[in-house]
Amino acid sequence: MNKKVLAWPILVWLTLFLTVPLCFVVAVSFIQRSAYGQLIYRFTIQNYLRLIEPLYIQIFIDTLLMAILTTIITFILGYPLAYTITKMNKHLQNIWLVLVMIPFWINSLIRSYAWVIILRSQGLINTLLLSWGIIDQPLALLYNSSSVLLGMVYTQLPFMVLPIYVSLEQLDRRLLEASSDLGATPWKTFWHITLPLTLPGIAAGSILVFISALGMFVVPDIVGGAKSALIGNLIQNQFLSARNWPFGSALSIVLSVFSLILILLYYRVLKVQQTKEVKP
Amino acid sequence: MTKKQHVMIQLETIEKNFAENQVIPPLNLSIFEGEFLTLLGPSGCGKTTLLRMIAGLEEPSAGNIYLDGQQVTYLPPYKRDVNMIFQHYALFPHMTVEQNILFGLRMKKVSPTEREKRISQVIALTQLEAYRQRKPRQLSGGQQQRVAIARALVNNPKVLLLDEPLGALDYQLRKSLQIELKSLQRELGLTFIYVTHDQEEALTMSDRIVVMNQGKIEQTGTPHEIYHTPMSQFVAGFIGENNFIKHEDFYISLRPEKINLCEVMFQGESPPPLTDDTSRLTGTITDVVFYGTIDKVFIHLDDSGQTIMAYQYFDDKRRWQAGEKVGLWWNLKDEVRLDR
Repeated sequence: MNKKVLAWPILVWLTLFLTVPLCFVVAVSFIQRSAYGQLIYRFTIQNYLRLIEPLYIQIFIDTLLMAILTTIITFILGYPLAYTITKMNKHLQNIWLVLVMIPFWINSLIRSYAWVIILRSQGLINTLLLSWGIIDQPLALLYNSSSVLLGMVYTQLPFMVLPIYVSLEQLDRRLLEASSDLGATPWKTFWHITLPLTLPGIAAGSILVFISALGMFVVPDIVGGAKSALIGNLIQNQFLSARNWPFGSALSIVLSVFSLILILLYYRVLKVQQTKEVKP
Repeated sequence: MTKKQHVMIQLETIEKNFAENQVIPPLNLSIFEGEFLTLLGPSGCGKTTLLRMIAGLEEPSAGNIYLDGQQVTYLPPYKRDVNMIFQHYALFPHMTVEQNILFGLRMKKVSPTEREKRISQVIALTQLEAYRQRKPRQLSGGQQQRVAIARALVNNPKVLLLDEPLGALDYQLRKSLQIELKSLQRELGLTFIYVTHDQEEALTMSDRIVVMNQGKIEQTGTPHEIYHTPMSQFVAGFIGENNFIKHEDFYISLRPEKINLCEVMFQGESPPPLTDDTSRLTGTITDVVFYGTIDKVFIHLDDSGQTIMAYQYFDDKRRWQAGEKVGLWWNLKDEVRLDR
């Protein structure tokens, strides 16, 4: 039996539900629409030209900043977490990995509302602080960019922890012993051996977090309220409320191309690293 | 043995337990400056654990370790003046050969001029000039081995610890590196502690061998002593090949190369009486196995029913065949009496 046959179901699936819709999106991004949202099948690049309006540039920059911040914070929190987990015995490691992954099993909408319950004026934190007399006015914890960042970091953390955990787990312990034997203090061993050798895990985690943070719309929508507008929300609005499918499509395409370039860059860097090692 | 008997490493009632298991019961050992000492034993005998305790990678459960007179028992590895060559070299894959070798000096903040001087020395010594800028994975096993040696030697350690450093290499390369390592050690006058389970390696390279079994030291001595006058059945059986002949309450061991074969003159009658310096038995050959330089002849003894093995070197007039009756004799001085 030809082994390629096994790949057919997934190919059919991808063609039907990814490639074809994507072609539609590309096509729609180049046509016009009527005042009431009907599509008019006439070619235009107006949808793309609109993107350079300051309003949208601003949204794009905000989104980028948010994604970068999310990546940095998940790294700062995720690396020590992954590192600590690898130092535990196998049994504890499994428990912690499950704990890290549990949020995946719960719908992200529900998780976002959980944050609303915790952060809102009559929420858990404000109620506690008020009852302990630490504050006398509820703090505005919700519906600002900090709460969006918090929600983003919370949802993206596992994507950072897991690849870093894998690369730390695969790290040859004997290298650490050799480093210590050669006179490196634990901190220097970490800096010169552990960190450089887990860079691929860090890069993989960062790409995963950054790209999904770029397109995120559920979290900013719920914990960010009406004030927050990131690209994800903008796209969602164009399709659902503004009924401007062509503009929404153009935004989607730009976002996708941007993500694609990042992924290609990542593979390029990996490849350069590998060929460097092969060539004398 | 070297003339100077300065003690470089002193292990004092060193003991190691992992959880409930006692891996090494209390043990004493002195290692002298400039000697090539081998810890020899089957896998799991505690030799690597002992080495790792000297390196500081493992903490003893009790006892003391002195390095050049100084108590180092609980000193972390990075503060000890010893360096280790690991079983699979443990070279840093993201660094070039040069960076690997410089690592120790950089960690100890040695000045750049001094660094350059020392690295050129070890690179010349290990013939790695052409590979300075390569990454470890672009090197052959033997070259990686050399990098590991250079990386350790460049730090001028007081003692070099080697954990089965040749284990991963093929037979021919191992042979030539054994000779290289030995001459390197002699040239530098450095103290080597070498861990291996390969008795041949131990015999050819060491000044002194410590034979270990189940965490205990079975015997310490020169290769010659260990081979010719083993003090226990374990040592006699682990090093080289041996025959054990049971007497009432003890065994004697007899090396197969010491046994001579002869025709049985008085077939059906008793063999000639024993003289003072020879011993005589008769038996039937059960098997003859060709080993290249020797034939191994297996003989079923008539009186005790035991099987004895003897080497034959093809200098005899004839080759023995299975099924033949044969006489055996050897010099009494070649017998080693074993009380344990």
